[in-house]
Formats: sequence, structure tokens, C-alpha cells
Amino acid sequence: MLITVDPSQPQPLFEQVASSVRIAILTGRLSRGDRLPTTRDLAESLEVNVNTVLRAYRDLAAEGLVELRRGRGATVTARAEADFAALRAHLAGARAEADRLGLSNATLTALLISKEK
Amino acid sequence: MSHSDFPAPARTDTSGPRPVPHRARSIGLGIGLPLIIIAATIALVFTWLPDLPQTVALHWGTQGVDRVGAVNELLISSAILIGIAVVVLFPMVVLLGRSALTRRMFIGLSVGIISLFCGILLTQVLTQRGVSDPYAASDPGLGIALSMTISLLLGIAAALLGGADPTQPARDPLPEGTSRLELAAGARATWIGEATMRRPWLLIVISLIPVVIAAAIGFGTRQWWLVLPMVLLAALILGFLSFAVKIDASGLTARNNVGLQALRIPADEVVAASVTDVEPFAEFGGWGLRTNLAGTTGLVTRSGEAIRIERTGNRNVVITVDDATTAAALLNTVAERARSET
Repeated sequence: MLITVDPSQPQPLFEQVASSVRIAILTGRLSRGDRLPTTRDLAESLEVNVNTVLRAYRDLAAEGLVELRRGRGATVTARAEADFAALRAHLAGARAEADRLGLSNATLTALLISKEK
Repeated sequence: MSHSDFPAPARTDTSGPRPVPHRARSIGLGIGLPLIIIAATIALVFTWLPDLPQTVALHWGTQGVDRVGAVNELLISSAILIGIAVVVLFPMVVLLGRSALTRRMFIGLSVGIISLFCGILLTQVLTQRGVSDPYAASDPGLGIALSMTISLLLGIAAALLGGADPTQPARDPLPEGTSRLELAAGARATWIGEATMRRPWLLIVISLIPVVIAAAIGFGTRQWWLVLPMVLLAALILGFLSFAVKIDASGLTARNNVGLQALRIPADEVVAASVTDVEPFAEFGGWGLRTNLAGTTGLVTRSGEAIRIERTGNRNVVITVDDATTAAALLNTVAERARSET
């Protein structure tokens, strides 16, 4: 699992930590029962405040993606996998379709970012 | 925790070979101390020899002494055992030990194994002092338990005194063609992975083996104290087959299940990291935290994808992780940053 923070980005740091974890679950790098690093450990590694990581973990817990337990830290829930299974399938489908049409990944990304529906 | 006969292909180190660090310490602790223990054992055995019966107990079975023989047989078999330990371990102490881990391991093994063999011989002699019938020799259980404990503690103490590695920062830039992670100038990244067995239940089954053996020995011999070292062995197996691996700006750290640090590679000592395929049994002679004759340290828990780290001072490391591509790329990136900081 790769967690990145970039202070030059407009997105707040806790949001960046949380989305790194979401991506890890989405790509299957993290699965049910996997433990996230302790807040203190991760904060030290990323050179951010402990509260930043704590906030990210609380947000993930509020979404039901992780479970916070005293002494055991944060563990990925069964729901996290299930929640992302559909999106993962859609993404794989979109990628396959883009390949079929000869669209590059960059084009696909641009389409996803664009607000047009 | 052993070496294999199949050294991995040697890699060149851009910072050039350096002598094995703490050589004097290795020789003093790994050879000098065992020699003193052997000398003391010989002296004690020969002092006590006149008190032994003509025929001595050689082997204890479930019902007490089950084999007797001449004193010479006891002395010769012990001498052979200690001799083999000396012939195998002393060269390892001198030749291997480029990294703190291997150095400490061989020093500890040398001191531990030789003091255990000496302790067992002393126990066999002591239990038969002043006895006329070898079958009446007292139970060696306590002596052997004591020998195990003392040799374990001596081995650990010697290993701890084996000396940490001096810092050897890499001086040359990363070789061409090494992968990097795309990371903006001020951005920070942490990679977290796990070196573990493909089938975790296998780990539990394997760790149960010594417990089952211990139970069998316990029921068979009534030597229940033997259960303790077996349970410790089970804990050791569990502790050395699964590791949490972390890469951040400071470098790479691997901790085992109980949180003990098994490996630490500072970012500035990384020459280059790459992705490799590893076959633990062929390259390291087994699984776990290992070292081979090429001096490569392996944290190998399964076959397949692994990260290969060339560390300064010819201390190469292989760690089995999933997504080794990202891990290697981040390690190269932090290694490059560490170089530009100095």
C-alpha cells in the first residue's frame, strides 16, 4: 500500500491520506482484515501531525471502510471490499472499452475528470 | 536462520568492497570465548575423571540410563561433537559477517552451540561422580536444562556484543535505469507491505510441530521441562515467518509479528533497489530471516516477487513482498533524496 501526501496540492493532507487508503482497497492491495499502520507510526513516516492521520482514519471509519478498535488500531472491514467490488468491475470495464476504442489511459482519465455527463 | 550452499549471483557494489567490520570483536567473541569455554570444560572433566566409574552411562532413555560404555567413548564422542562445531562455526565467524545481522548470528551460534555441547558433557560427567554403578547415575535433566538456558543466554549476549554496522553512506548517484516513483518535490510517501507466507494457516501448522514434539517427549520421558524450549521454538517460527515492511524517507524497516525490528536499511545506504524473483529454498536454503554464502541477507517467506536491495559494503538484501515494483521505486526515490540532502 502506498500512502502519499503532497502539501502543494489543494486537497487537505488528511484527505490525501484517506484517498491513498481508499485506492489501496480499490486496487485490492488492502483486503478485509488487513491492519493499517498505527497513527503515530504513519504520521512519523509521512512527516505529518498525528491528528492528520487520526482524522483520515476517523473519516474512513465513518464511511465503514475501516474499523477502529482500541489497542488493535484500524482494520479493513468486509464491507470495504464489497463496496468497492462494483466500482472495481466498472473501472475494469471502462479500461477494456477504452482499449477496444484505442483510447489512451490519459484520455480516459480526462473523461473521468471532466464534469460533462 | 542458516546459510545455503547455493550462493546468489554476486553483485558489484559501486562504493567498492570494504573489510568486514568489527573483525577483532568477531574473533574474540566468536572464537576466543568458545575456546576458553572448551579449555575450562577439558580442565574440569579431567579433574573429575578419577571420580567416575570404569563404565559410564552414555545415553539416557525414557526409563533412565539405557546404554553404558567406556569413559573413552564418552570423551571421544563429545570431542567429535565439539570438534565439528569448531570446524563448521569458526570459519563462518571469520569469513561471514559483513552485516551486523550475519555477524551477530554466527557469533551467537558459535558461543551458544559450543557452550551447549560443553554443558552437556559436564552434566554427563557430574551426574556420575562417585557413582559405582552407571545405571545409578542421577537424572541429567536439570543439568541439560541449565546448559540450554546458560548457552542460550551466552549466545544472545555474545550476539548483542557483536557490534553494530558503521554507517556507510552511498557516494555515487543511483545507477542508470533504476526505477523511480513519481513524487512531487515536497511530497512524502510511505509504502507498507508484508513479507508473509502465501498460506498463513501453514504458518500455524508449522509452529504446531515443535509443540506436538514437545508433548510427545513430555509423555514419553516425563521430562516436561523440555516443553519450554519447544514452545519457544514455536514462537520463534511464528516470529520469523511474517514481517511488516515499511519504506519511508528514512529507508526500509522490517518488523516481525511481535514488533521486533528484523532489518533496517537507512535510505542513504541504498545503492539501488530492483524487482527480482526469489526461490527461497534454492537461494537461501529455506524460509525466514536468512543469510547465504554470498553474504546476501534474505527475508524470504515465499517464492516469487521480491525486492532486491544493493546496500553499501556489499550487504545485499532480498525481501519477498507483493507489489515490489512500487516498493523498489519508492526506495530508489528516497535513496536519491537522501544523497542530495548531504
